[in-house]
Amino acid sequence: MDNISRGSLFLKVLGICVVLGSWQTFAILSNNPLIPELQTICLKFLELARDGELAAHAKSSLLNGFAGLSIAFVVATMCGFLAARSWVFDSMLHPLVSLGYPVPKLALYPMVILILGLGGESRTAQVALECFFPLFVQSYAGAKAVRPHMEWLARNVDAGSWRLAKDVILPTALPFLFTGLRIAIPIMLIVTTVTEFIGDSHGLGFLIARSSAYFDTASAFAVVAVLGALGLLADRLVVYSRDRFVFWEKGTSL
Amino acid sequence: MIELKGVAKTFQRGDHVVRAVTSVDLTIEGGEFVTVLGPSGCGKTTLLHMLGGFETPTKGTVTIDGQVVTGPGRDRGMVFQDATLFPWRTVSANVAWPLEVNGVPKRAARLQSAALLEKVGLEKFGNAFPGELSGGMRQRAALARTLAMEPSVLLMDEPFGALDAQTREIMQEELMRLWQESDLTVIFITHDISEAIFLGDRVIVMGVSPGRVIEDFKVELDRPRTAEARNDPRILEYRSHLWGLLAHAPSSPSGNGSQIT
Ligand SMILES: Nc1ncnc2c1ncn2[C@@H]1O[C@H](COP(=O)(O)OP(=O)(O)OP(=O)(O)O)[C@@H](O)[C@H]1O
Ligand SMILES: [Mg+2]
Repeated sequence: MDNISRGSLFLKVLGICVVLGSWQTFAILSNNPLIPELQTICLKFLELARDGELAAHAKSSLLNGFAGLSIAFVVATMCGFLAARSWVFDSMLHPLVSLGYPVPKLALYPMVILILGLGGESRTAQVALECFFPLFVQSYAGAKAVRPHMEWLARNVDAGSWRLAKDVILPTALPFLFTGLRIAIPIMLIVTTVTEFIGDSHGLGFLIARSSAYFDTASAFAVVAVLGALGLLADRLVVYSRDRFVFWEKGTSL
Repeated sequence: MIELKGVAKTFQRGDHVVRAVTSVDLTIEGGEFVTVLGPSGCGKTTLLHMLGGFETPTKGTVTIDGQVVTGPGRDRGMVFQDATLFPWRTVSANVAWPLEVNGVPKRAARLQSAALLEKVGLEKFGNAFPGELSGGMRQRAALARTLAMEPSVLLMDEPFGALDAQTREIMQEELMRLWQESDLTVIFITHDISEAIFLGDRVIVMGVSPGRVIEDFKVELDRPRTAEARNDPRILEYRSHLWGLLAHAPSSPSGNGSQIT
């Protein structure tokens, strides 16, 4: 490790320490049981982890969240490619996407519940709904990024549209699809958590809501920290896969 | 045989019309090596794209062996200036692509691609990715890929324009050798007078505003041509003649700094 990266690692740790230290100081000074000190949060975390409750709820959240994300990813990628390549689809999808993008899709959740019930299906559907838009935008941009000469090459060798999609458009769009995933993952976590506040008593969001209802903010914070860690892990996984799969573009991700 | 009859191409740019190519009549025999020389913006690329079927003439027709060109085809292989290799495929997989598209099984395609790579002197680089190659090697790979289509005509748009002088000469000699061993027709665009003379049986000289052919010049250097031909005394004569033509041709107002060398 050279001096710069050692220095930057030190600064990264320092940044975290400053925030945690400030919290701790604030908690001690405020002397308010609703603002727990760090060690209380850690103890609650261990408690939740020990009896398996945390793992069970995390599993439920992740299953619903990733199911929604996967559905959105497949549909958005296909729609993005179609819209980028065919003006008929482009014209049809354009107003829908422009209208749909700014609408807070969570506003639809009461209706989603009415149709799909209070279970995991509703949460999955809601996540898919919300993640579709950023994924679509990236997929569209990626399919549009095909260099004109590559397209000519494909015409020159008489490649069909399936060939073109598989061998040219998909690899060109791949870095964009990974960017889309990086944007969609936090959205997925947010929507999963919020939709679990109302529902059939499953998931990390439910755990936060229940703990808060009992004024057990230490447990709630412990769950929030777990959510943060899961988000970080998923993001790192995407970055790692991007570097593996998009090996021909180096040093472009954060 | 390739025939252009009264071929013209105009582009609409904003509210004015760009006459990229005006009324070109040209006959190219099968197996000929024709170079196209001219200042920037004289319509060389546009002409080549019409031959390739990537653009349609506004007026006139392009026919190949009596058939009117209506679109691109594997009989006319295009070699782009920027090589246009897939960075996500190895060199050998790039060369095999036209074969795969044609339904050749993967293994057979790889075998053929290895043979083609040997032909262009890249046999050691089949497993490399394009990003690991030099400009000249990339151009060789692009040539091998185009040959994989088994075209009868090679269309080359300043393929060596981005290479250094030495690499360029080596590439010219290799192309010469490849062409002499084949029965390909080559149409080769260049800015470089020496390159046009060394490679071509004929040099088509184009002028600008509007883009047109100003001379169809026959090069009488011996065939087969090797590096020796560069010392032929007639080259000086040809050079000064072509220089004269280009120097008196009006230069493009929108010329982007490309120079005749
Ligand atoms: N798609 C297009 N739309 C509008 N104008 C175009 C288009 N393609 C070419 N032109 C114009 O047509 C003219 C001829 O262009 P072309 O690219 O054929 O020249 P060229 O001889 O290949 O030049 P260079 O040596 O710089 O490559 C130029 O004035 C150019 O601006
Ligand atoms: Mg050009």
